[in-house]
Amino acid sequence: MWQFRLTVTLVSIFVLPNGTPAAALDKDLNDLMTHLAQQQRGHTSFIERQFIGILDRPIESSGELFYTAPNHLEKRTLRPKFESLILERNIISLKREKFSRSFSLKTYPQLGVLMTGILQTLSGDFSALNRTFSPSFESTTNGWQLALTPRDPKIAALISKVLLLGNEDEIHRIEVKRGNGDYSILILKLILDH
Amino acid sequence: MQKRFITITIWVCFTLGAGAVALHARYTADLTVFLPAHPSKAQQLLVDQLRGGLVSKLILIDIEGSNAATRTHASTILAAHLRAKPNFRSVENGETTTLERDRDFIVQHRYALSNQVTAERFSVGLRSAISDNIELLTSPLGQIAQEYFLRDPTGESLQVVNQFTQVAQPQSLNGVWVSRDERRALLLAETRAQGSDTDAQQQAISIIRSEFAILQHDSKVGSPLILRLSGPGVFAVQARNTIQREAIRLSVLSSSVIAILLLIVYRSLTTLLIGFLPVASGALTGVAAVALGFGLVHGVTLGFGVTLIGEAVDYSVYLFVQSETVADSRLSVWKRKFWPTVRLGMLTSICGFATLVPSAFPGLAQLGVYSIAGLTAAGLTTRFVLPAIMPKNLSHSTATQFGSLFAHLLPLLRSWHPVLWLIPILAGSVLFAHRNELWNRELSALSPIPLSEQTLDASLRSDLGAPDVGTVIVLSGLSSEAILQASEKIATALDALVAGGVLAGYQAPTQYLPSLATQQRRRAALPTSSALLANLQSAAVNLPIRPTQLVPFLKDIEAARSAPLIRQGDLKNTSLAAGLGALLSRGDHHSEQWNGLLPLLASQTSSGAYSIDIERIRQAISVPLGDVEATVLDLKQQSDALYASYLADAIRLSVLGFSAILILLVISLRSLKRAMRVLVPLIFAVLTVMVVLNLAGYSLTILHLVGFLLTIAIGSNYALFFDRESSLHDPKKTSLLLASLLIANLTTVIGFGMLAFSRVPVLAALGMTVAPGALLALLFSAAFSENVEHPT
Repeated sequence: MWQFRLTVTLVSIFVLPNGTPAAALDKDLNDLMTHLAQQQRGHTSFIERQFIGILDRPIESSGELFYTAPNHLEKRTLRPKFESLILERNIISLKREKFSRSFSLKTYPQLGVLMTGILQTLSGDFSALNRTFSPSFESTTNGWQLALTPRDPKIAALISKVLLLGNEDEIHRIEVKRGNGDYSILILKLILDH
Repeated sequence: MQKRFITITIWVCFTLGAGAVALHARYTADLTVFLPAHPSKAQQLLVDQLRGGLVSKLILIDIEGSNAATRTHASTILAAHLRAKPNFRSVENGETTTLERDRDFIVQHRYALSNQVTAERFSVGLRSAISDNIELLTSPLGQIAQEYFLRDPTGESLQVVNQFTQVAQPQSLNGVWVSRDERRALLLAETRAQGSDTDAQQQAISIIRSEFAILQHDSKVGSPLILRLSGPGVFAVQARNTIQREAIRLSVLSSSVIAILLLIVYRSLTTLLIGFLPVASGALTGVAAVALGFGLVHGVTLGFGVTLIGEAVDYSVYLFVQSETVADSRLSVWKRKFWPTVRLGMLTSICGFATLVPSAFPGLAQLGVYSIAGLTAAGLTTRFVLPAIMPKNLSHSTATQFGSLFAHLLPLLRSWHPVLWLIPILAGSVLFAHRNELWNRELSALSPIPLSEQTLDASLRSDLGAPDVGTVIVLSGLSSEAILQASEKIATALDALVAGGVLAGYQAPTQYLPSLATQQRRRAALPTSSALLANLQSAAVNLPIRPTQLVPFLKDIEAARSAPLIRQGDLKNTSLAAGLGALLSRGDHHSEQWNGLLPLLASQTSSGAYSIDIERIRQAISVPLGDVEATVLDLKQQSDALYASYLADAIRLSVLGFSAILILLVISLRSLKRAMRVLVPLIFAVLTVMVVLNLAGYSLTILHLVGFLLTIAIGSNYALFFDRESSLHDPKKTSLLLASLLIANLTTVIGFGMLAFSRVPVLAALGMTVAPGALLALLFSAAFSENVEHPT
């Protein structure tokens, strides 16, 4: 079971340590990936706050995340409005009120950077992750943090970084930083299925 | 001598003339041959759609092989080159050049195009419109929405995009359209010429192929690419080529085999060549008669050229084998004794085919004219030209062997006679038990397109979201504005059906261009700057946006209030133009008539099948539409109904033809008993073939029916000779007569047997019916003949 255990962490989010030896990084990251690869499914709630430049205050939304190994991830926003975002293989499907469309990630990679980052991390597929992003792994006092920078400069101009923070084999916080200075923070919380 | 010279001169001139007409005839192979000569109104709409509708003009292009980058390159270059050709109205490959243009157009005209635009949306509804759109900023599409947010805080641009993309869009990769599996690049070309103009379609196709060939030599294209084309025009061209190729290939093949057989019999090359003259002049005359009578020759008719070999070669066989020597006085014996029988056989055939001429199905009528003209020419050539030029001494040694072989078989065949009476009983019960699946009632049964090609077409169509021939609502009125207004009213009714699950969706011209009336109404609903600012100030309370940020919005609304209305011509240079052009067009160039189309998408029923409740649609569109007339048309049902009517027509005409043959025989033989003895073996042969085909799982088409008619026509010769043979008492003559029948039959079985292996279903149907039918006709006629071995 891929489970997010309840974790409360307060980590400085935009400060990333430099100078970690590559070999050590790969080893620690490989260990994490190996652990994650054993998880078959997961279900968590999330609260997302998006900080958008032209708006006076952040927009808050909440919902649930569903993961089924190795290549299905759904981000289902329930509040304030329903929205379903499903990443399955290379197709990302977006469903909103009156809007339902599928996009190929090869054509619209910017639509799925966050989803791809989460999915490739959860599935423990290091080589895929390493193809899409330049990963940077760091152990912290409370666990670990994985910074993903898109390798494609065109995508990186839109979404400059995805940061995953976790403890052992759980992710409890995700941050997305956009090229225009906007950013969003997701706090994840485990849901126990019976 | 003088008379002979005149005869030959007339024949040569006539044949040359027929050849010249045949050479300059127009050949076609599209589905329109199946369309009625005098259509009803609904049929006329079907005809228009198949002949000149957008669907008929689309060529689906598929590029496979190599890698994605190469395919993208090929797609871009090919599209650019084809766009420069006058043969194509448009070539779409999903390139962003058109998308960018569309985006600018959509953003610029969003307040005229969005069907959300009402006075309320910019007053009491303003707050919820803006707050909905703010939520959109947080979605994955937010980055696109953000770019326009300050100009378009109510999200009308996205609404317009949604309106357009209700119709499935192809998937894109690297900016060009690709199949779902992304292994093929896709393009959609629309020809300027109508789909039914097979010559123009062929030209367009060869341009695509040659441009593609140039591309293959391009240095950037490393490994080879594969080009595949599909669409109605492509099918028509392909069908024509296949039929022509098959007709030629099979003619050559069966002629060769028949030639070898006849060479063995005649032992003379000259005799052999002369023997083919009736066939050649018959085929040429047939094609010429069709070209003169119908203006154009259908490929299927051409295919029948092969079949004529089967019957017409018999005439010369009868002449050469039955006439013992060619001393002038002796030949007059053949003319006196045998020619009347051949003539009666020929008249019998003509009688059968004459009933096809008045058929509403042009293909059947062409076949009738072709056969009458061809058989007449072949018969007359045999009677008047051949005796004048045939070799002086014919060898009969092989023929005599054939004759004695058959003579030995005769008693055996005659002993079957009583058993044969079981045929009508057995056949009758089998056919009665299977009476419901006996006939194939779908037009596609006649399609010369192999299943693999049809499957490719379906997959390309589904990947491209290209329209298919299905159910449409057709509007006709006196102006494009009238059509658009009616389309809006119907769209409202259809929306209710979509919401209720009766329909999966629909396309309408107004999805691309609202009527001028609607545009005016929307323009009038836009508030003045001061009113909008006041509305914004009250709407923005507690929203995370300040009215002062939205000055671009105020400016755009102000501009939209006095913007000119959009007309069809303004869509030029956008990808919307093709979409609208397909659904809204002027009728014939002479009329002031405008036509609008609303193609309907079937919803899946509980049983899993896709179907449309036509009655519900009819009810829904029975709203007042002014002078505009609305008709629901199910094209598949319509064409199948058409074909079913042809089939019924053909069955009726065949029965009529059969009665005519019976009457002809009764009159010429002056005895009902003799006429029946001629016909019964033929009926039994037809019944047997029918049962065998049915048990082998074939459902019968019009062409099988024609095959049965041909079987009767050819077989009547055998039966008539057996009837005649009973009055012959000279064993040598009997032997030669039997030889001529056996040889004639072998040539027929060979000719049609080859046809049975054709890839063209129409030709194969004929072959598998006539080859066994003719063989059985000979055997049964022999079995029913009277024993004259021991004359009293």
